[in-house]
Amino acid sequence: MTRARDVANIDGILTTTGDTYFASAAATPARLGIGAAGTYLTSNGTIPSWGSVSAGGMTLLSTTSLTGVSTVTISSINQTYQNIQFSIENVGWTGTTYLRVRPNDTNTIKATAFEGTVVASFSQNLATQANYSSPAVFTYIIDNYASTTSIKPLKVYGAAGLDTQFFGGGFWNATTAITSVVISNGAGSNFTSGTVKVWGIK
Amino acid sequence: MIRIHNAETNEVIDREMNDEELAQLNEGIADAEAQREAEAAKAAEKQAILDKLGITAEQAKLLLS
Repeated sequence: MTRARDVANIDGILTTTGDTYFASAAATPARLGIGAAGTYLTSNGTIPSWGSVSAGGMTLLSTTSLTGVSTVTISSINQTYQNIQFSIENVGWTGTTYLRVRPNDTNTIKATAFEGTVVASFSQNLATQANYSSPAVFTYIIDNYASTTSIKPLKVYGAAGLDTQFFGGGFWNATTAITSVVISNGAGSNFTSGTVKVWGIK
Repeated sequence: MIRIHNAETNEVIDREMNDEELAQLNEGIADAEAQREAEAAKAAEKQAILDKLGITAEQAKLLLS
């Protein structure tokens, strides 16, 4: 094939704005029409095509109201993410007590918390301190939560009673995968408000 | 009452607690009370030392800074 014939062949294949020229097989020129907006050139290992990029970031797995019950259990948490986040929003309770968050409903947390300027001990059951007022907002992130062979780092931050800030970290001292979480408060009373969102993080 | 939310099926069940769940809740209440008492005892001990020294908590902080 001469160079002139090559150019003519390309002209015949590339018929539309945005076309890409490629070989669909050895010595077999072909066109790939432009992909939809926001798609990226990808491959199936043989030929190119336009595809979407897999979403990373956070995926909302569940949303649960706390209102009107003393205990909430969120079970069957999806095990296909890297990290898990529990976003505990606008939690209300009567009086002062602590918020109790127990992954797998067990006491296997070892952590230290920094409350305001005071370094405070951090209860093993991932509770915050004893005398918090509500409303409270807390975010708990546990890395590698689905692992069955490793302990799991965690961090928590938030605020309670509109005046106490809180930041803590430590680890989940078990190799068991975390498949559920139980939320209650130290008074054992019904929550007056609040929502728990479970996020999977890639 | 306990609320159980299956995150896979999105099924939500509200029901009375069984004995085991009630025991867990009561354990949490006892934990909170123990923690509250420990914090109160620590605060009282700290105040007793401050009283003995005749200084305020703020003055103690200044001395230690």
